[in-house]
Amino acid sequence: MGEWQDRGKSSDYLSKLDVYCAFCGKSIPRRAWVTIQGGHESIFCNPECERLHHEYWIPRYGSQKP
Amino acid sequence: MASSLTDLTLLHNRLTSICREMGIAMMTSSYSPVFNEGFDFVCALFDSQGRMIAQAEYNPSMLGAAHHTVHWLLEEVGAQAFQRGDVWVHNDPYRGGCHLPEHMLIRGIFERDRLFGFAATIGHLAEIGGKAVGGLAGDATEVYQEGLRLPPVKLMDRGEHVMDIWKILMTNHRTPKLTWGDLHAMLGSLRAAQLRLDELFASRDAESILRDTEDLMDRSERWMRREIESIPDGVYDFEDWMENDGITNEPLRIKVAVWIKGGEIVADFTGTAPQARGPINATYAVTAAATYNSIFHLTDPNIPRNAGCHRPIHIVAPPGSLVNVRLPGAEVGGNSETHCRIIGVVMGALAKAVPNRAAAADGATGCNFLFGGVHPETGEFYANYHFENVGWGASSRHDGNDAQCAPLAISRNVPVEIFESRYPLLTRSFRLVTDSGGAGTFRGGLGTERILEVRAPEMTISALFDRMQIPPWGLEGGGPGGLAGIAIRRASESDFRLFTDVFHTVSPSKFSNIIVRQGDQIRIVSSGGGGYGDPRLRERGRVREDVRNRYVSSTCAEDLYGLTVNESEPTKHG
Repeated sequence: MGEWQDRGKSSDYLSKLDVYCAFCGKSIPRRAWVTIQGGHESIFCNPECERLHHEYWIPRYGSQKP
Repeated sequence: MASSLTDLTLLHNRLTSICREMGIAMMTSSYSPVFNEGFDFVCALFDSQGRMIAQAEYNPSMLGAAHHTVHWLLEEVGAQAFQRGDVWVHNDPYRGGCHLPEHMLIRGIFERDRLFGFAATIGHLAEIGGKAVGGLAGDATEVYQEGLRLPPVKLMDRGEHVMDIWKILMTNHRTPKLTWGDLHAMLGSLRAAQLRLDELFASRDAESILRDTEDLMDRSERWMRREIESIPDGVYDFEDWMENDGITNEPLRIKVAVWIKGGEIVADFTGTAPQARGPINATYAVTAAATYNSIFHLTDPNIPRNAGCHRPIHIVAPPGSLVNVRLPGAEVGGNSETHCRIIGVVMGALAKAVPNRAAAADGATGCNFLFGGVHPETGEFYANYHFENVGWGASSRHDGNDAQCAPLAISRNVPVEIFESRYPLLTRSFRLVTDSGGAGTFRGGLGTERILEVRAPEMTISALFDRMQIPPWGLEGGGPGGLAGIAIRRASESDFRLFTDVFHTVSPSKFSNIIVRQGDQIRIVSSGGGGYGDPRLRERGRVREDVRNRYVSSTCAEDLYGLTVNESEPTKHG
């Protein structure tokens, strides 16, 4: 289960840090989809990226890697 | 009640026509050849959530990126920041943009006092300051050297110029008159959108239009999913290389794994080289636009182009790589050069699944040639960004097109007369290059050669090319396309030589701020497209015609196509 939070790139222009989606790698401008699973926080662009993280990324590169 | 398919089609066509008219307004009123000859711009409409509801068939690289650029801008400033007559400008590659010269202007579209959505244009400004005249410094190492970077800022406030921003632009660009003219052409284009939508609002309320655009987006998504479902499920890999980054002469790999499952695609660029020091890094928006472009080439072209057709396509681009640059990486060539290669690797991967739909590699370089100086006749500073067209890859049904803009754009060949009337350059020759199309059952398209002679005491030039060492690949037994090139013949010399030899540049294809002089000649060669299928299976009459037209030499006809041809032999075309 996740929720929307204002966690993307700071708009105060003092920080040059970017926040990247854990699935697609895109820099997130402001609102992020934040999930916590097994005590681990992940930041995604949206719920679609979270779904693909489970359906594509984890089977290919994660613990379910063949 | 839902609208009929006929009504939806009429609405789609009307919105598309508005976008086309926006483009015509810009084309006919802009100052720079890159706009009015090169068509290096896009026009699109978005709903109030920033979803693209219509577009015209202008530059696909910007169309794909606009999806991300508008999203970023609305996330950062919010739709509520728009008042009637406001226009925001934004060119920041690190805030959802494609590359620095491409400026997005966006205006809120209102039905009475209610925000309906947005009209946006992205256009390539010919001069944006930075270390090289005309932008595209081939040896930049960080974005700060590449020109003036604008985060989303207001350019027009309720119809009035925000002069503080205009002053910054005019001060930092080398050719402020061109910037002024081109930005006003873009503003005119946005105004045309509001006027035409006002006409539409007179006959239909905004609610019903938005209900139908929602339906159109859903239909496009379903159509695209059906197209993807026709590709066998699986993971298809491909890789290609950028030759160098202008700073070190080492190739950099672009790797993709395209995962197809049902009606969904993930293009995963994991394994691509880390970001380069030189200016060939792509932003995420560039990589996404290139991926959409490739997939659109392989699917039904009749799918209404709106946000719906992007939904089933997902991109994985590791941050800090050549396909998703981190600040402060230099990025201007990521759009013109790496973009082409990304289109190619996605096409190459999908060719393994659907070879009869795919094409061999196109010339895949913008052959970007930048020049500027003081015009000896007017005493005014000039600058121009020129790109050369290339040969396209052949497919299972057709020869590749000759001398056409690489698939990232739809730009036309800039006429010889433009060079000669606006800049101190004389065109000594401009021709198709014999044997530059990869051999095949279907032949790759031909590249071009252009020789320009400098007619001023001095001129500053820069270049950002690729495909000078690694040729475009063929498919299904087709041969590679011809290489690109840029060389110089000094006024006192008889031969053309590479810039590495004459000026000791690190890269033969990427350099900036070289001073050339009166009488020097620059030879620009664009690459050809790869061939498709065994050349010995090419229809014999076509080989004869190619030789007759000097597209293929008699030597090549004999060696690659297995046919001895007398060049004076008549063909069916005389």
